[in-house]
Amino acid sequence: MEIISRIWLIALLSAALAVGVVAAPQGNSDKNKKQQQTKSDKDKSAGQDKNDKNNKDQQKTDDSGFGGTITAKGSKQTKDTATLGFKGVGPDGQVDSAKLGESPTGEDERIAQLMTGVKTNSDEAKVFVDNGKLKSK
Amino acid sequence: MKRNLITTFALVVLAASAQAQFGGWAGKVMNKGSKVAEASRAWTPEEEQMIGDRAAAKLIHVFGVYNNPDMNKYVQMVGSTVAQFGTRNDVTYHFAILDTDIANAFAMPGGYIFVTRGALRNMKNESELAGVLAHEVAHVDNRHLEREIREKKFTGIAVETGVEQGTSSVPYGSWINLDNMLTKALTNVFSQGYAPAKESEADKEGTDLAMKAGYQATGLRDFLQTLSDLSQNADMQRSTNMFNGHSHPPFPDRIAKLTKQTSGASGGETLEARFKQNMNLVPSDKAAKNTQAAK
Repeated sequence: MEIISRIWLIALLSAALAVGVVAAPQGNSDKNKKQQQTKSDKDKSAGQDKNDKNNKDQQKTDDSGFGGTITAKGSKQTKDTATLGFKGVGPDGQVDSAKLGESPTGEDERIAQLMTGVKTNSDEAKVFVDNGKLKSK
Repeated sequence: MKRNLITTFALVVLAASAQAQFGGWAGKVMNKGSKVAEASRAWTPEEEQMIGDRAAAKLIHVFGVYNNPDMNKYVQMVGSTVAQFGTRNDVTYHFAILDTDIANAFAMPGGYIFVTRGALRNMKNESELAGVLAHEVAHVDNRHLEREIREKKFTGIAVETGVEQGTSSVPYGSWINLDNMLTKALTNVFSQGYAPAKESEADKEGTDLAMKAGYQATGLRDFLQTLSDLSQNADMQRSTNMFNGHSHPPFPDRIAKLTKQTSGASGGETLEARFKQNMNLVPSDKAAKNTQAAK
């Protein structure tokens, strides 16, 4: 009786181990494949969107406040086109939380990207510092 | 005894096998633990840049950028002059003017620095602008927003929204999660501000940066004094409210500390003429009258 019980237990153990060892990696592998596929699809889609967006951006007339090419010489605009008033804040002077909760638009992202494109020309910076009798590092 | 051991072993193996197949509580506990660890670790330079890009786009969405390239360029020049004395070599600083009448300035991860049109309108010279921009540079140098998010207030948000390293190239798992986390973090920073110690640190280090660049040491202090005076006027409280006590320590505390810090400093440039030459702001009251007249 004891021998039969042992055999039964060993069989049960073997079956459990086999299922555990085989099923778990298979499950993870399927999951990883799915995730990789989804990510790959998203990346492709994002890449396509980005290319489309870049093309559209290049065609757009720039009105970001950085003057198109963003070089110092390219920013010759003196027209003041500010929107008057307390944009982005409520009557109490605190930030408009509803607006803050919204996702930025493609245009907002484009302007942020243009901002990173602003490079300080080293010659101009030297003149700026010298004229102001300031210091360089 | 031997039989009991075998039975126990069998049960453990069965449980482990079920766990391996179906996940369950052990998996969830381990997953949550790894998310906490992930949420509280330092951002990589790439993550900081991506989070900064998104945060900057959010600010631009709320306030808009002031559409005057010459003035944006001037602010960039002043900002770069003080930022070169900053402590971080891994960040390139970008400066711009936000199109709103409130008087404030903001620093976002990745080197994005904004000053508002309302703040510029209330400045008297370039050393005040340099002091304010240097204060913001010090926030980025010290990773203040990142530390706010990681250290205390937002780890829970990050964990709830899911930090899944390896499953997404976007910090905090997805753009939606990142947006939600940033909304909560920025709302908190705007309404309650950084810890007073962080603001004091930015005031002190910002003043040091402006001095190293050759500006008069009292620029930031003088601007805070102007805002403090304005805040006494009921009509101007809306303009200064975000700066005074809510998101920053009260003006008098800061002014007192900066007065002490700069008491021994002498010299330095104010560059009032250059500042006025570069300011091309239409006074909002005059423009409003013009608009009404046009109607």
